[in-house]
Order: sequence, then C-alpha cells, then structure tokens
Amino acid sequence: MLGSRPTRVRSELSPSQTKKKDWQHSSLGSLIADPLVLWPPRPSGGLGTGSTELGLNRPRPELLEPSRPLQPGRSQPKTLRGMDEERRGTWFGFGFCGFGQALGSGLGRQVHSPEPVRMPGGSVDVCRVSASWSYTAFVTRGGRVQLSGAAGGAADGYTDACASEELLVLLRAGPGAGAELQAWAPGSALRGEPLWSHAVQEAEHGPNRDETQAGLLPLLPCARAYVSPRPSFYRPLAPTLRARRLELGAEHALLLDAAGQVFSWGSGRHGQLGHGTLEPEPEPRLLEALQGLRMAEVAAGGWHSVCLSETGDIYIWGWNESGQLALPTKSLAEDGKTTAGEASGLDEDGSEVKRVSAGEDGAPAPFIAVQPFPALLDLSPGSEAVKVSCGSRHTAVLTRTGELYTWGWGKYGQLGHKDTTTLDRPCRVEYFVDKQLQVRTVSCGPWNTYVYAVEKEKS
Amino acid sequence: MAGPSALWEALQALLPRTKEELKLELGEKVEGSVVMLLQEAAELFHGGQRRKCLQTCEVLLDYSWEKLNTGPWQHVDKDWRRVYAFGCLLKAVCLCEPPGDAASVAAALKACDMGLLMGAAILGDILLKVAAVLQKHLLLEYIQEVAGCRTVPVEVGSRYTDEGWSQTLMTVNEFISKYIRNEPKDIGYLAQHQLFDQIPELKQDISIPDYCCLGDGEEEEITINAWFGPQGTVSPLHQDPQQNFLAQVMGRKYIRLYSPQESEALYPHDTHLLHNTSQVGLGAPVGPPPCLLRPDRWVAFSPGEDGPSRSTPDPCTLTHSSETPGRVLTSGPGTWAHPGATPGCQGGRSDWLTTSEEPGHQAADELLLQSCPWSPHPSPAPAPTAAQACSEPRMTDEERVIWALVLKLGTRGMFFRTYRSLAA
Repeated sequence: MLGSRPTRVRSELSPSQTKKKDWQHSSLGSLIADPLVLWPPRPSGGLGTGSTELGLNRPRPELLEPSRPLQPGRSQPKTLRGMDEERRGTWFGFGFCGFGQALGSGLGRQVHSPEPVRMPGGSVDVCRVSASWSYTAFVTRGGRVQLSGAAGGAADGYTDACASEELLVLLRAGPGAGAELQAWAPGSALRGEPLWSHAVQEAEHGPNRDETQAGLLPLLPCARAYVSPRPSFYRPLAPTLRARRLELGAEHALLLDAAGQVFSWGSGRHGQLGHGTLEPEPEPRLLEALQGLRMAEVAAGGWHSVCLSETGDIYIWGWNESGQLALPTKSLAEDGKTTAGEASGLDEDGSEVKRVSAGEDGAPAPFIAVQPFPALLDLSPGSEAVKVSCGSRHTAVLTRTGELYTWGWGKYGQLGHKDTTTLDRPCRVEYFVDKQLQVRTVSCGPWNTYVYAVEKEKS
Repeated sequence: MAGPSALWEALQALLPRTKEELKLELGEKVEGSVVMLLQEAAELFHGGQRRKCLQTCEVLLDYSWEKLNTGPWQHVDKDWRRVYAFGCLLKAVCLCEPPGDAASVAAALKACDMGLLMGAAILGDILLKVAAVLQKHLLLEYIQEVAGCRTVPVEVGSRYTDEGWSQTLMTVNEFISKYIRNEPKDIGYLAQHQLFDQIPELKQDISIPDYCCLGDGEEEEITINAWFGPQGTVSPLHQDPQQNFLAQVMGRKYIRLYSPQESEALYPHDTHLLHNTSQVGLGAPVGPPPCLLRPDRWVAFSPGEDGPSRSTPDPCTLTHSSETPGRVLTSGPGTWAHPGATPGCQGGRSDWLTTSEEPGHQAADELLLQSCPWSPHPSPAPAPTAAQACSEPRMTDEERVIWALVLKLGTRGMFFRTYRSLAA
C-alpha cells in the first residue's frame, strides 16, 4: 500500500494542479506558486478548526519533493488522508541577532536556546526564511516579504527571497505570463525601485516541471540560471545540468541535479569542492566520490558542504576549523574541549564519560582541518537525515523523526544548546524533544538558525 | 601598584581624543551594517561601556575574519583588514581597563598582535604603539615580579663623563618607579650590570646562542651584562677590547660604530681611567648630518670646539639602529661604539653624532649582513686579535669595515655575552 503512494502523490498533486487550486482559493487573490502546498488549500487557515493563527499545515518534508521516492515504512501524513487533526507549527530562532532581527526574544545580541520568532506586525504565516548576517527576510504564504534587522520594510506579491549583505533578491509573481526576479539594496526598505529586475521564464513542461517552485533561490525557477550577490548577478547554468537545487557558500557553489548528482565549483582552498584537492574549479564539476548514490539535499556553509542521500546518510566535506564537519578539530582540542569521535557512553556510576577517541594503537585520533572529499557522518544509530542547512561555520541536520542536530561554531548560540560552546560532534537540540515538538524545516543564517516545528502527533 | 592605571593612562594618551576621530575612512566594500557597528563600538568606548564595547568588537572581529578568509589573501580588500585592526585595537584597550591583571594585559597584547598580523595600518600605526606600551608593561610587571626587591647599581646622570654623574644602589622596584615609569626627571640607567649572575631566575629566561662559544677564550671570561634604562640613555663613544654581542630586548637603540683604525681621529682621553673613551661629543649638538661610509668625507676636529668644522665629515663607519626587539649586533674587538639616544626622541640627550635620522639605514643593514661571516655571502677574513687601545690593528683595506652580524633572533630576553677574541 505504501509503495503505491509515490505515484499517487505525483498524479494527484502535480504542481500545475496545485497552482490552479491556489488561484481559486487564495485569500489574497495573488498567485501563490507555493510548492509546499500539496494538499487541499486552507480556505481560512485551518482544516475544520477555523483558526487563522500561524499554523502551517505541512506534510512531512519527504513529500515536498515529489521526485524523491518514498521509502516503505514511512507513516502516512494525515494531510493526505484529509487532515483530521490540525498540525500547527511555529518558527523558532536561535543564534546571533545583534542587529535586532527577529529571532525570539532578541534580548542582548544572542539567543542561546530556541525561542519562538516574534514577527513585527503580529503573527504571520511564514513559509520561508532567508537569513543574512545583519537581517532576515521572511516570506509569508500570503506573498508578503518582511525584513527584520539592519534592513527593514515589507512588500507584497512575492514568493521567494534570498537575503545577503550586498543584495536582497526577491522572486515576484509577475503579471501575466512570467515571474520576475528583483534585486534590491537591503537598505532600500523595499521602497522605490529595485537595483535591477529580470524577467524569469516559466519552467518548461516535462520532467523539469517539478522545479517550478518557489523556495529555490538562489536557483531560479526555470533552473537555467542562478543569482549571486556578487557581479555578475545573473549567472546562467548549462541546461544539461537539470538543476534541482543550488546553494552558495562564501567562495563556492553546490548544485543538485534531477538525477541526484552533486556538482561543485568555485574556490577549493578549504576542500569545499569535494574533489579531493584544493584546486579551484571554474565550471560545475561532478562529485565523482558520490557517484552511484542519489542525493536528496545539498547545503553549503561558508567553506563547507553537506549533502544527504535519499537513504538518509550525511556526506560532509570542506573546512573543519570550528568542527563544522563533526570531525575532531585542533582548535577545540587546544581548549581541551574536543569530543569528536568518542565512544560516549556511560560510566559505571552512570555519569557520561567523554573520552578522546583513540586510534588503533591507542594514539589520539588525528585532527582534521580540511576534508577535501566527502566523508560519511553518522548522527546516531538508525537515524535518517532528511534536511540540512549550513551557516557560516555551523551545520544543522533534521532527521525523519523530527529531531534537530547541530554542530560547529557556537559562539553566538547558533547551535541552540543553551550555551556558546563550539562543538565538533553532532548534538541533538534537546529543546524540541523536551517540548514534544517535531522539527520540520531548518534554515540557517550565517550566525543563527531558524527552525519550524510542529507539535508531536499524539498516537 | 601604580601599574594598571599608569598603563591605562598611557593607552589613553595614544588614542584619539574624540569619538569622531576614532573612525576609519572606508570604501564601498564595507557594508553599511559593519559601518554601523564600527560607530557603535567607538561610541561605547567613549561612553565608558567597556564590556559592551568588547562584545561589539568581537562581532566586528568575527565578521571581518570571515572576510579575511574569503578569497586569496592578496585579493582581500584592505578595508576589511582595517576593520579587523580596529576591532583588535578597541578590544586590546578595553581589556586593559583597571583593575587589570597580567592575564588581561597579555590577552590585550595578543589582540594587538592579531591586528598587526592580519590587519592593516590604521590611525597612524596605532597598534604598533599600543603593542609597545603593553609589551613594556608586561615586561616591567614580570621583572618586578621576579626581581623587584633586589638591589642593583644605577647610574644617575646623562653620561659617565659628566661631572654630575654618580652611581647609587636601589631596588629594581625603586628604579622602575623612579626612572622608567611616571615621567622621570633624571636619567637613571641600570647599566653594565651582571644582573643574570645576581638573579639566576632571569638567566633561565634567556638562551645563549651557540656561536658565543666559538671563541678562543675561556668560558669564565664570558660575561653577560644587562642594560636597562629609559629613553635617552647615552654611553659616550668608547672602545671595547672585547668581542660583543648586543641583543635588543625592548625599545630602540641607535649606535654609531667606528673602526679601530679611526682611533686617532676620535681623540681618546689621556688618562688611564678614560683611555678607552673618546673626547668627542663634549660640545653642543651642532654639525651636519653624519655620513655613512663615504671615505671622501672624513672629518678631523679637535676637542673643545663646539663641533666639527663643516669641511670634513665624521669617520663613522657604521650605524646600527634596531627598530625591533630581537636584533643582535656583534662588533669586533677594538670597535668604537657610541650607543646613544634614539634619533629624534623627545627629551633625549643626543650629541652631534646622533641627532638626525640616518638615511643610509637600509644600506647599513645590508652591509652588515653581507659582511657577516656566517651569512651565505662570501665572508671577509677573520677578525684580528684584540687590539690595544689607540693602536692600529692589522687589518687590510677590505677589512676596514667593521664586520658585524645582525641576526633576528625573535626571542624575548636575549642579552649578550662578551668574550675576548676570535681566532686570529
């Protein structure tokens, strides 16, 4: 029964059909090409409850990308059966908020433990968060872009945003046929005119049709180009790449194609390209080390790269100066804090014992500053990773069961472990477990983390 | 102790007076959000909110650090390096707020060093000055900790040829307090004292280069002297029969060196006590800037005059001015040396030999390196035997130049040994 689900999902909820439904039912009357809306739309924000509160009735993440086959054994989301229980969720944030960007209480400049995001203008229906260093862009289901932090302002009619210090890129559902890409100066408060705009062609029909989704920036919906915060801003991609997802690091780019292959290009000085060298690559180059494995997700940090296989494995490579690869890093060892690679078990009296991992001959494991080709990372036995996002020097991974793991640079609380410790091994964010919340989406800014979580199902 | 507040005042004196002056002119590469933070840091600093200023500095440092690590180093925009340096500066000064402890000052010095290593010059090379102040403070704190109560001989008066010159005994603490810190009124000089024999703990801090043992003399004949004083200390032009290695630990020293062959032109005193001391320099500072290595401009003058006649320049062979600690000067036996105040320093006594900046500095260093017997360049003949005062050593024309070795040792606490002579 479960095995037949994938086809049903695709045929019933193909994007073109959902789009039509959105047109019909959207309260704002504007086109919402929201790929996440794969269930019958909510006329008033809820199914049966009539609530207009924040809730996002999202199906489980694995259904958001129809090209990914479902695995047997996954429980069925209630949404597909016709939602007999509302699953309301909340956005949480933690980490750096030194410019006053909405990230929870925002007390001081840092939030060390997840706190509900308080949006200006009351609770809104945020479906996408793109955080730059000094400001965050929130996109609501109603098409409103709200900026918070060093850059402010709001505007309607948008479906996607990509925030960076130099540029705020917005995707507007244009009048008539095409959508429009707009680049704004963050300081403009979205008043006046964008710095430039570019008509974006609709996706072609055919297999690529699934990619006409918002939430893809910096990749454009047509998948023929992407946007960079540095000139040249509009960068075409070879059509042969069939790009599904694109992520930008400080000096490199990662691309996930429809076949689950990963390409990388840019500077390789810190091993972030994954080709086994420190050489730069001017053009997208296939990651041969991952050949044969279908990848489902990619994410790029400042100088590191992560991808998730369809079976939930994590592959990670690049710079490990803050332990963002979950490999032992020298800087932490010098502070006496590295615990990576340990066999963390319980001592006889039940207290947790941290031991530095030992090699075969009993010598301590070597430190890794740069990992130039993908390394497989185990979160915890049996867990499957389904979503990943990277900040500048930290990594956040979401499991199928809704647990969030973070590691790497933690100086501003961006790991969410109630402190500012930098970690070189994955640690679960206990806040969500304690509150019985399941994390559904994670989106990292350079020095902070935004998370969307729902209450756990009562079985 | 007056230490922490004296340090704080010394640092404040280096910084711009107003908040408006504590700013950087930056180009477009630096985003508005960062400019905001820089202004905020300056405001917090001037508002006395050190802790918040430190927090803002950390943000500035972390962000600019990321920029410094993006792209090849040579392509990193200099403005980002200046932002980084600015963060280091305010961080360093904030860390020294009284009551500071040695750990905070050491952390402040580390911040300065990071700014010097990775940042770019700002506000007139202020990081160099701050680092010098911090280093001096740390060194003084350390010396006081190890040797503060020990009694040492101190020379008071500008030079040992003066009438008012005297020697006295006092503790190291007293010496530092009276003659090093707090705007001393007189010049006090802890000079030519075998401090490391008196306080072996200090000797443990230094390592003696192996080449000091290359000589023929006996080990017991090797002496290590310490020279510790404020700016403006001068030793009159004198001749030393021993081989010397002079290592700079802290501060700058400007030294003029003359070949033994010029002994006659330097008019040593007739008396036995001062037979190795030149009479030159008794007059008021006048005269043209000294020249370097221009045999066509040798000077002859007689003592008692106000200065040299303008028609003949001085026979100075070489000058050595150590800009940075860690440099070592070695001079062969019979060398005339005039360690004097740093050229141009305020309040320092300097005579006609040392008033001006030596334009040939770089040339001096290069020459020193080239003539060094341990350098890869062809070495000159070995030094002659120890010369008697006023007698001419047997040196060929090529060897007229005093060979000297300048090494960058890069370690703290290097002083020097002297020993008799190298092999003939």
